Amino acid sequence: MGQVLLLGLIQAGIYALFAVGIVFVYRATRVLTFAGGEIGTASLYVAALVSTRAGLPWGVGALAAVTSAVLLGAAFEFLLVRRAVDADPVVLSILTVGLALTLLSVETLAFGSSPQGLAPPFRGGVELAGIVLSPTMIASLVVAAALGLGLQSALRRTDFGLGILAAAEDPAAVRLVGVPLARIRLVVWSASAGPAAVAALLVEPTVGFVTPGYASTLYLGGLVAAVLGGLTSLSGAVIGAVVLGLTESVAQRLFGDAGIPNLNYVVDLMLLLLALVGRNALPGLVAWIYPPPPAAPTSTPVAEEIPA
Amino acid sequence: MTAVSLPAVLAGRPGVPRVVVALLLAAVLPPLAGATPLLSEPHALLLTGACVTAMAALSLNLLLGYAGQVSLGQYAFVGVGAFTTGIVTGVADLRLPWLLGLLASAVVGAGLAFLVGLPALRLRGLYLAVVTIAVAYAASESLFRIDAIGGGSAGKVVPRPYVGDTALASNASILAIGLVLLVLLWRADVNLTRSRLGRALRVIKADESVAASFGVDVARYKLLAFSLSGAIAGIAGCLNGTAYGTVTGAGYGYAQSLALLVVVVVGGLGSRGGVVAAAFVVTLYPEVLLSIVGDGIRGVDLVINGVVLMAVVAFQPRGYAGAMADARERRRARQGGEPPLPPTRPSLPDLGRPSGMPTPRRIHRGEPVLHGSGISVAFGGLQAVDGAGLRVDRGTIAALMGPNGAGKTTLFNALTGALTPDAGTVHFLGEDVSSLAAHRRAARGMGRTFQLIGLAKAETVYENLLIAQHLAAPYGVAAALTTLGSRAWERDLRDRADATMDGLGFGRYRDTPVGRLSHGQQRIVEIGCALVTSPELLMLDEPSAGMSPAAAEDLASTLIDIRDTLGRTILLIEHNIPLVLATADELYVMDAGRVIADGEPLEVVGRPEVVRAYLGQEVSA
Amino acid sequence: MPHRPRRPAQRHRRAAALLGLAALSVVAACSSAPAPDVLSAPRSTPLGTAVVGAQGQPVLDATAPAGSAAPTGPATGPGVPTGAATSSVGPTGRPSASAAVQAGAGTRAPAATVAGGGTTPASGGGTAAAAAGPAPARSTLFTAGEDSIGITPTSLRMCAHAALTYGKAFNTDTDDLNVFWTALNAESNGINGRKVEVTYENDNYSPDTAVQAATTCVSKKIFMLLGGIGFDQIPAVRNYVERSHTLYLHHSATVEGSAGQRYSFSELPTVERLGEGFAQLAASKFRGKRIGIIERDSANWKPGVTAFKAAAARYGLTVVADVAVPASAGNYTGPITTMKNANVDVVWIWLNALESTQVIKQMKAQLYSPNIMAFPFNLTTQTLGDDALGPPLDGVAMYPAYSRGDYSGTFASYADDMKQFEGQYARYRPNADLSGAGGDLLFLNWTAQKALAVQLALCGKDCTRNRFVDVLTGYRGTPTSSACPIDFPGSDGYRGANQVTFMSSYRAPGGAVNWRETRKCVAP
Repeated sequence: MGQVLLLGLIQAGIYALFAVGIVFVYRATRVLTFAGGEIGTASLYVAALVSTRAGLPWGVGALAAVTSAVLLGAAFEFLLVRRAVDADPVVLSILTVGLALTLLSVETLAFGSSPQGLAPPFRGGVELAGIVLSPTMIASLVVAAALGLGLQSALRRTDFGLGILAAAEDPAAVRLVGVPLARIRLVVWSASAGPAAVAALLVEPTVGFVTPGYASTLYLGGLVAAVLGGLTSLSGAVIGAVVLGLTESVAQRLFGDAGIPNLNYVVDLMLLLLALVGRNALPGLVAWIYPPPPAAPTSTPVAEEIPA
Repeated sequence: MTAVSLPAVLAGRPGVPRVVVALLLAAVLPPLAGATPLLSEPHALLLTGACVTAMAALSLNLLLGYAGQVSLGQYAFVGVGAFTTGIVTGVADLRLPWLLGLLASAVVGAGLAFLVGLPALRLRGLYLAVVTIAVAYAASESLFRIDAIGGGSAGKVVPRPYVGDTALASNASILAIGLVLLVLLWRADVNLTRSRLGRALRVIKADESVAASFGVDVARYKLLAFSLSGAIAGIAGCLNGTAYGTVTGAGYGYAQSLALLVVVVVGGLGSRGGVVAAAFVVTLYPEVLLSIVGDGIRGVDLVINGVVLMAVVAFQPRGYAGAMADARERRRARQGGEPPLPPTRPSLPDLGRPSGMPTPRRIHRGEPVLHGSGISVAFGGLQAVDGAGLRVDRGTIAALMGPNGAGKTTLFNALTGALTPDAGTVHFLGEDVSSLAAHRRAARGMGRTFQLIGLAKAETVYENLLIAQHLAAPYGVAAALTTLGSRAWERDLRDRADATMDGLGFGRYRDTPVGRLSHGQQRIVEIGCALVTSPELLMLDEPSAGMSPAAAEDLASTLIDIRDTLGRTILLIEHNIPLVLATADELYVMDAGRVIADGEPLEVVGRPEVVRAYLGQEVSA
Repeated sequence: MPHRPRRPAQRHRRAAALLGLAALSVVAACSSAPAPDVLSAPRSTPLGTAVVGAQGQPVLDATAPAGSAAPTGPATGPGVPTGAATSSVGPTGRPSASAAVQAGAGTRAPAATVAGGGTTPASGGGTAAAAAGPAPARSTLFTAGEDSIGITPTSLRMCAHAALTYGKAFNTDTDDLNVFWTALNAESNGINGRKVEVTYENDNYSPDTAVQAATTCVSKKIFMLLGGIGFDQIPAVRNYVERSHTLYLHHSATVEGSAGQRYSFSELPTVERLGEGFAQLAASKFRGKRIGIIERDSANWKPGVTAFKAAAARYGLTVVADVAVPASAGNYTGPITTMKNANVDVVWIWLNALESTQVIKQMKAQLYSPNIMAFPFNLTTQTLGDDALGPPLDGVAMYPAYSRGDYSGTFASYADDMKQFEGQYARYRPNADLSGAGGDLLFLNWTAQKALAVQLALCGKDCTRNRFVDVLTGYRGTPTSSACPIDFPGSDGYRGANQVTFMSSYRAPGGAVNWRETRKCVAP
């Protein structure tokens, strides 16, 4: 049983890394990004070109990956998101689909199926319940949680972060108050690519190497995890990922031989339906653990009493 | 054939695709008549593929463009249709007619979409998107790979349709069938958008509470949208399976759903002409490119698709159709605008209850039209309404006032059914309607307006007047799609709409999107919409908000008119004290969720507790 | 006139498939690109520049004296039908060439006349080049109007559907795939004086696109359609060619779903045979060991596993674990753990090349080094490097191994083919990277083309589709040194070859880790 849980947690680590990026983008822009997996893959290709082919150490490659991802995010915002700023979030989400498709087809054209990879900085790992946990596997959940908390704090506790949240809720009002909306958006989209690169850097050693679209199935798990966690809570993303990973693992152990092809997708769908239609359960739990800020009053304050 | 311009074709004017189709049929009919075909087999197959994409695009356009439901897994329904055809027509030795397979595909496609629609009722936008992606994966990876459905490693074979004893072997004949289906679906889509069904979907997409206030059963219509979309997608799948001859799960997954999304977005969400045109262009352009540029272009078309999608979404989110519409707008604007309408006093015609709607319940003298008591509503920790109640008698105007945050709109929503209170009852025309949803109360004769103008802003004034009469033309889906049995009703609706517009003096704004009118004008239209079905009770939420004092005066006269000439009952939320004093027969005042005063207006406004709670003239929001 | 049977040297089948069955059928589930297949080479088998017979005479010259490979089948005439009734009805029950059937529709008439005509033919029967006047073909598959499509006295046109989408990455375009034909046309004036022209249509790993590609191919008025690897694609195209009466020669596919089809032929082992082949490998090397299977959860892959298990039972092998995974799952820690838990000694990875590579890499990370059986592609071993050697990987293939410049050991028996291949590329496509991960794919494509060219040559100057069907279905022999024997008469009339080759990874001179053969042409 320990193995089942451990396997679930390993997979959860992967999902959590993607989910945190997804939730961050959602909180900061109300857009659901479908491009996180592909941005990460593209950044790894850059890292592979820079580091592996040139024989440089992993750290250089990792730096190249994060940098290229951030630049990609900035270019994306500058060239495209900026033009569509008043479009509704569904439309902007479709924009990220376009980005994913473009990156995928460019990678295919340029590299075909030839595997690329970054030599991991460390080999071996810790053995637990018969499974060897590589440092990146262990790091995944931890890094995801840390990223989540870090981003959460940055959003809630810094002025700039609050500006980001406000801009997401009501761009028009924020503009009037003098918050630099354009700068915020640029920072947000550039920054959101960072977690995508980090995710790819930590996931790729587990998988072994990178090929176009290797992240797609895994990214789907990230989406499901993010939605399970309520989409607005960064800690919820991690919790959602854990729930998803564990459920898939347990289901595989219990029903793997039942003859349902590709059981995982069915599990994903059922979890989603359960969580969303019985929607209050998981986010409620999350909210209890990490209470959201009090809801803004929906009406203007009551007029002050004036003595007769 | 009438001469039509290409932009008109692409703008989806009904009747125009006859030109396109006639041309293609000319290419297709010769082989059927035994003459040499004008289209080669691979070209016919390619065009059939484009037809399939066009039909799938129509189905996604219905769901996403008309009804606003985000579906990123549409090919699950297409696949279901394809496999159903294979299962039905492939039953060994039975050689069931192909049309049976077509019908079955539509039914099963509708069924699956209905199932997906059920959870969709409670999901918004992006959550629904993720669920549909999960559905796409589960369908293509699990459902379609079950041997009984998927046919094992070789896939499901779909035999060609038979005419008598001969199989329709040539691709051109399948293309002909496909084109016929496309034209039929196109016509059905045209009929749909012009019918109450289409209007209901559009208003649901705009704002669900507004839809409910017009009597639209939002849940039912959403499910209907899913089912219809699934049926069309199923038909597309049937054609696809027939054209290629073999169906495997790999061809109907998330990747294909995304490709369809590209087509629909590029063509223009909500425009049937745009999406059909985009379907053909996106399918055909790689071949054209290949023949011009040669092999080197392979794989580049995928990059182009991605870049074009991004460009379209960024620069013209309404796609090609949107670009065309904007161009038309600019042309019209260049032709010069009209001088603004001098303010007139609208006079609303007495239209009587529409024949399609049940007559409101009769009550005795002295029985109130509306009686709410003990209503309490809490949001989280906040008690918005606390044991409030009021009654409105027939032929009177009652007003509800109070400072902001007093709970007036919340009480309104509880009375109309827009929300369910935690406690309390609502009696309307003597009937306990506490458990009825908003659209059902609307059917019984409750009409309402909204603080922020409850209209479909993107629709024209005329359209809104038609939408508001949703319940007055009780014909069903079949009538909507075929226009058989709906024409008389529609004529009726249009007559009433015309009469209302004349009364309002808004004839020249007939085709103007409501969102373009000034706030005051929108309010007039909104009241007209609320009255067009002759409701017994008219509930107005801050009708004078945003109006100049002069306009507010006109409004007051209008309200008195409605009460005296039309004999209606009115309940108002208002901040404008002169308006209230001029019109109301009864005044209720709320504060902090409770009703703190009620009675004759002039008297109530002087009471100290009222003065204490709410002093002076508040600037309207 | 009897002639010595050609030495059944190693042979290779038309290895149309590139990256293995596994890799390609990926079109599956992902929004991302399917696990790409390095080269989807079509299975057309152009002959080498000059195929030489055992005595060194050029084989492709129809006027050459009967040599080891020269066609001298018995002259056949219409009077043979009754003999045909006794001929091969394969185990899958393909329609036997009964007289009645033959008189009516064009069913296959495999081998009957050849068997009746003589005991020696190493190569198929068919038209006798030297016989007086062209005898009518036995096969009546094609009507008179269909028989000579795509073939003229000076040209022979074929077309292949293949997944070309990933070719760019390897700088592999259709010219790289056509080196054999280019050389043949330039140096030997084609086959029997006919210049061979092969074009390619992209099937993008998708069955629908494959049918479109096949339709486009057919519209070019081709002699024969060639099917590149693709589990999903081939069944779809098989159905199509039945409808359109096209001669179709395709790569490995499942037997399932092919009943009653007459226009398709294959000279490569089926998916089921491959599964069985892996069981044979296990029986020969790992008897008594515990076997585990990691397979792709898909109907297309299942028949291989079913065949493996049936054969394993016959050989007394123990399968202790069997895990099915979705396409491109990425993280295989779960299945690997299951293998470890069951103390599996030998893991059979029944996935495409990229996925297999990932699994093996992850196994090493899990400090787990069982014996492994997988599809032998240099892509896998070159990516894994040292991880592919401790212990060496084992594989089963339907194509020859290739390691550039290494003609020693098991390569020696077909070094002539390798040298001819390298020579042609040096002359016509010097930029092609034969040492890289695509080298073995190019070679298997090349040898398949050469084998096809041998058979086309046997068809003679009066070749038509029906005559070629005769050649094909009567062919018993080994067309090139790198190929395995084909025996159509002894088969079900559809699939003429069922021998697989065992391979193992090794460090090639030069340092790269490649595959080499350990046992060639293993029969069922």
